[in-house]
Amino acid sequence: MPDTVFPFSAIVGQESLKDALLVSAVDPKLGGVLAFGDRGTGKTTMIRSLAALLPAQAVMKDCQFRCAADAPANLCTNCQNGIAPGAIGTRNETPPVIDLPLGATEDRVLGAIDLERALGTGELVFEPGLLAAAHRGFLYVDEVNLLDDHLVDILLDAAASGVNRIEREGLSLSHAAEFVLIGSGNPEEGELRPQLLDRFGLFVEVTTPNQVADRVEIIKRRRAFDEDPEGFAKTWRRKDAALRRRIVTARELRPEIEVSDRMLEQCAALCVSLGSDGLRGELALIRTATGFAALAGKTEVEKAHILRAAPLALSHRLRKDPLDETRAAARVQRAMDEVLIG
Amino acid sequence: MISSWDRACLCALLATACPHLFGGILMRAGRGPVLSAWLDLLDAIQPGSVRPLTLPPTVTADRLYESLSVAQSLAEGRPIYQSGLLEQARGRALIIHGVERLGAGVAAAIAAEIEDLRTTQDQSLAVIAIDESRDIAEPISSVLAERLAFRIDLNDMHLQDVGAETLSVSDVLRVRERIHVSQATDDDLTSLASACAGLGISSMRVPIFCLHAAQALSALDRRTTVSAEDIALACQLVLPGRGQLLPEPSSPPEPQQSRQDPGETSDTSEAEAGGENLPSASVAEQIIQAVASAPVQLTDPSSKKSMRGRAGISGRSGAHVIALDRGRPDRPIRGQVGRGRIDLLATLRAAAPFQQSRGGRQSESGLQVRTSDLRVKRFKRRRQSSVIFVVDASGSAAMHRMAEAKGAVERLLSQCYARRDLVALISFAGEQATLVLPPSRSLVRARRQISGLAGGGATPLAHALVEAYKLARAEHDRGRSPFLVFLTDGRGNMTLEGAADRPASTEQAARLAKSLFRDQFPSVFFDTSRRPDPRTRRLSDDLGAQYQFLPTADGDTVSKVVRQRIGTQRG
Repeated sequence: MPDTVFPFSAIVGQESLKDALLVSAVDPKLGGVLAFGDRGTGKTTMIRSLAALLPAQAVMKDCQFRCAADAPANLCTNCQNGIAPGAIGTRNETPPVIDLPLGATEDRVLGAIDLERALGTGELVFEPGLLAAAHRGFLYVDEVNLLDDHLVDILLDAAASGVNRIEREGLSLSHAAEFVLIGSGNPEEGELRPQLLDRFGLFVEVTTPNQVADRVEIIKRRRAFDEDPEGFAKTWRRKDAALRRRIVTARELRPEIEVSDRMLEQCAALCVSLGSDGLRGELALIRTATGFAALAGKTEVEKAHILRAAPLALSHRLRKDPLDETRAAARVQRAMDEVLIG
Repeated sequence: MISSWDRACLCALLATACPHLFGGILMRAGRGPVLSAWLDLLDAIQPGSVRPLTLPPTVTADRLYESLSVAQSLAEGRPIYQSGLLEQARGRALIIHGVERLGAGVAAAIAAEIEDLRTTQDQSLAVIAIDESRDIAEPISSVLAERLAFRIDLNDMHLQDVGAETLSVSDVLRVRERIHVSQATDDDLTSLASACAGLGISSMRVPIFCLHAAQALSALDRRTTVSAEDIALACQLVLPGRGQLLPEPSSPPEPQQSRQDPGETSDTSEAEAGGENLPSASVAEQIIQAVASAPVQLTDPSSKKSMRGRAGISGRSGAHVIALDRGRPDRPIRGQVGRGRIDLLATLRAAAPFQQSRGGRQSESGLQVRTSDLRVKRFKRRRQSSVIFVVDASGSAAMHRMAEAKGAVERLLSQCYARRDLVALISFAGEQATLVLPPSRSLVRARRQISGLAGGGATPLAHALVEAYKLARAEHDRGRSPFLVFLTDGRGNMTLEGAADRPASTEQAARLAKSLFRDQFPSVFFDTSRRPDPRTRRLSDDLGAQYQFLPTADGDTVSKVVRQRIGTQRG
């Protein structure tokens, strides 16, 4: 619906969030991003900008689940039954960004019986929900910390498995729902339960830039965009295109990237020294570092990539003392200084 | 200096002229002649033939988008659609009365619509969100509030304040046409950025709103450059109620001071804090002063007595709306169309026995469903507990007791944030009781608010009871279960009227306890006297509280007893 979107390259600062989103775009299975912090820091803008930047993807025409045309193994039953995939036809679309409102019901998220068809023709037909709409795109939940726990559970389950499985109201079906879950919230308004926190792949603490010069630059660019959206987008088109190429290359490169034993040991040592619970943190760390290596066009994970990945993958997985004042990112930084560099 | 009414009119003008830049207005106003006059003005300056669209706060999310009209479809036997309200609102002003009662889902959907239509001037809607709450501030969806540029308060205005109408459609069109012609210098931007940073406003939307408003004001005057006055006035329209800067934890609040005009006090403190270490401090300070000199009433009324308890609109956006449509499914009930989500299977099941008597033959006319068959889904939600601490901070032992109470609150918080319960803290000392920590489950916020707490002085017990009652009542009205924890020796010596009179104060406290609390809210009373005192025991009984003698109350005991009591309360 929005015609011109603020160019991703024109966003000032917020490097951690940019990193987290870019690496998620390269590897959507990282498990989503949780961005905690102030309002009005450009989270909404950044997500919409990124989606607009990503290459268009081929989708089966007329499929209510928007099946991927290039993944024949992953088609829904309707698409499988339709003769050959090519015969149904495909169309291109930019990856969707779906907002999940706080008051959303389970029906709206999962999908439910199509009431209209049920009343009109007596058929029991499934009406896809937001999970289906977000397939191969982004699902953005503002104020995720205020969302009902059982809904957060549903989202995280679907995000982790890539499948939405429905067993309710006499319906039994499943469809692909691969999306990057992006949650945002302000810790001043309530915390997220630790067991949910841990299930987000990456964590970013978002703050407004405290340099006045940066703030002025933000205002200037926004003003320029508001005055002439198209003209402004044009001046950034080259940079956005370069970034798009980098993401496309990184996606191809990522499965080939190797992680040496030495790097694996470093990751393990880092997790041990931070006392991060469980293996989830370690796996996320390695996977994120691999994503950064791909973005840098390397074929092997290097220390620099681990350094970049660690704050994102580990900050929310530290053993918790709820009354500890030290910021998580600072603790990760300290551990990195000790374990990796020392 | 322009009047409040003129400012309100300018907001109407600017929001109407460039809704894609400003999103709309958040206003506090009760229904009455002043609001009517303002709405008339809004109506009069709409360009073209479009009229504002008015929404009731009870609007449900399904009405926002095109949807099947169940009642009509059933009556006519074919699907009949009704167009969505958001579509109808495109390019118009959307007035929402009682926005504090608006469902969180609806508010979020409107916010998303504002975001989606940002780049299309003629399509975007100007949201006029009217907060009708008076005494107790209700949480307003921060997702929506954040995207509305202007803040107006009509509550304390009278009909004689309403000025003659000077704005017209041509003004709207002029602003729309010339807004980007008018230019601001880099210095203007810098001072705006510094001013907002100085007020502790982190959102970058706010200075951008200010800039656009300043441009619009100079466009209104047919000027091509933004003047300092434009910026100051723009800030007065945008900034009220947004300040977030909290006083340093090292400086405890002075209860004596806060008897003065609360807006005044808090804003001067912000101005002082804002001017430091910023490049164009002087201009920024002027802006802050300009905002401070305007009547700023969009702060949280529940914290009027406290600088510390003050939180901006966005800061207290719990948005805990008890909806009929969330939570775990429960047994469906017979329902009306439009209230809640229809449970199709239950509805069909209800209709099934009557098929023959209704003469429905499956093959011909299909299933016969009557309105009386409709079943609506119901959801179960556990009531949240809201634990309210009422802590005596007076006298010599205060510091000791405060430390205990702080410890208990922090411990309880860290225990119950996993359970989604809330904790609040009222402390009393000197002349009055203060809401130190509004109901919250945020550790970050709780820690910060509690750490700066200090005590000493007289014991305004009666006032504490009144404040505790008000808060408990408000929590109850929000659908939570209040639970009170009193920590005091029960020796009040300050009456509600502010007189230092021990017998009168004791008598007042006893009367309030009996009339306000008896059998109202579950509570625990920790007697912090050095020796058990029958009079204190009596006060506890008057409150209907569970009495506990704790001369050396420690955080662990307090939190344990509270947990046990809440446990039994739930059953």
